Amino acid sequence: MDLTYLLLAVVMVFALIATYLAIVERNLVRAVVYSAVQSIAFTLALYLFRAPDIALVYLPITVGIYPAAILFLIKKTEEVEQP
Amino acid sequence: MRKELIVATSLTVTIIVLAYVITLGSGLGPLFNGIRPLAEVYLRTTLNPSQPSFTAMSPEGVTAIVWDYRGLDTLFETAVFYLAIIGAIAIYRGVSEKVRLNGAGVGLSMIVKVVTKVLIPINIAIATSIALHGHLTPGGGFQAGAAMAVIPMILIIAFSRYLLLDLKISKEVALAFRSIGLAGIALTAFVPILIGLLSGVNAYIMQNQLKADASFSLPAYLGDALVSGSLILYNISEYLAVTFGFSMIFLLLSIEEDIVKEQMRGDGVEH
Amino acid sequence: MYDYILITIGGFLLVVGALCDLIAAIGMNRFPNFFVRLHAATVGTIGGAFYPLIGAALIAFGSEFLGNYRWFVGGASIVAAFLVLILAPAGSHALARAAHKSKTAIVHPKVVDHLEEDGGVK
Repeated sequence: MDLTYLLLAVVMVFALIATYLAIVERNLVRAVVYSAVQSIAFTLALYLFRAPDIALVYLPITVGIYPAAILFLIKKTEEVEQP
Repeated sequence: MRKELIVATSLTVTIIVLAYVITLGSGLGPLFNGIRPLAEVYLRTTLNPSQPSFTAMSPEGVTAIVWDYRGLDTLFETAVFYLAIIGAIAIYRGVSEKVRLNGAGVGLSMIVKVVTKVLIPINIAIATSIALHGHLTPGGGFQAGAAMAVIPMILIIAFSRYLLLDLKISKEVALAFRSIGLAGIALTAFVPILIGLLSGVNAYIMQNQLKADASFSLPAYLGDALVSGSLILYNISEYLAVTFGFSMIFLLLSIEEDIVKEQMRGDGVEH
Repeated sequence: MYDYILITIGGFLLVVGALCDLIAAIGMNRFPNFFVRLHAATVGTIGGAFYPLIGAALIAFGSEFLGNYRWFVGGASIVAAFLVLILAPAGSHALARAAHKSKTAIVHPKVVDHLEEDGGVK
């Protein structure tokens, strides 16, 4: 049980780092990739919370569909965020 | 760079210390490890033939709650999702999606195309099994639809959007299949009340198993297989609707806007 | 006896996977340009994921105490290994091709570039 929580802490630290990188990144394509990394960490966390239903819907939406939609939008606008 | 490093390090240390205090140090009191009373009610009734007026006849508690105990909530969630899709269609109204320049739609290289072709049957099998097992194992209609919606996306990326059009999966076809799915959900919700009206017994909208004052119930077993009454019908309908809803979104998003705009401004393109 | 052999081979494959990961990490740090670093990353994904997954499957097959569940564990591992085996090369191939085509990655310490000699990517 303690090992589960420890793994959860490690996963959430990964998610935190990815979130931070996604926020400070000016290149939006890279930011989307960081966001997908954060989503993978969240999926692991949901699985550790014993919510496989949510993990099943979270993985394809946040790693496949959401980055694809955002990348389509970035292609239609501009790639680098202006300061 | 130095400031960012400090921020990241301090946040990481905070998280690790908090996790240590909560889990190993037990500084914030003992963790609650039992089952809460509300959860116990659901666990005792989801698959319990000895209480026919409370059970949903499904061993998977989440699906039972989502489509039976709290079915109306899910119906409105679904409605929100489909309103968003209707908004996308409204934005792209009048855009001719079939405009195609010569040489467009080459796609990625042969290797990627072959790997995509190998992957697609696997993906279809997994998504369908998630949908059809939604009332037995974790999963359900929306999960299966999300897994299936990855297929049009990788087809658009690896081949091109014109492959989907060549396969006759245009916006209108996707809209039709999505409407079939939505109609399936509505029909499953109204089937008990229709049968109740015809046969003169009391029944409710979205009813699955029999209730105290309504003796109508959808069949929980089909032969020897447990189908949990309305749950499998809801799951299959939602699977269809979500799959083709997402497919339509990708078909619309992948329109090459500048080319289409030029064609629309130019001479005599019907739109 | 068979269990012992299976578990030994599985453990050996795990060690091979760990070595591949180590080599990939060294390569990622020391290789000069994008394409050879991509090669190192592919060593990490294929060698470092395919071999350990096969090893885990063999160890699961050899573990009698798991009962019938060992077939589930081993089968899932083999399916995952197959997916990694076909997906990782295809992904890195598409990445390298896209980088070469869009000229975002410069082939700087260049020995040979057949793609360029053929007159660009078709």
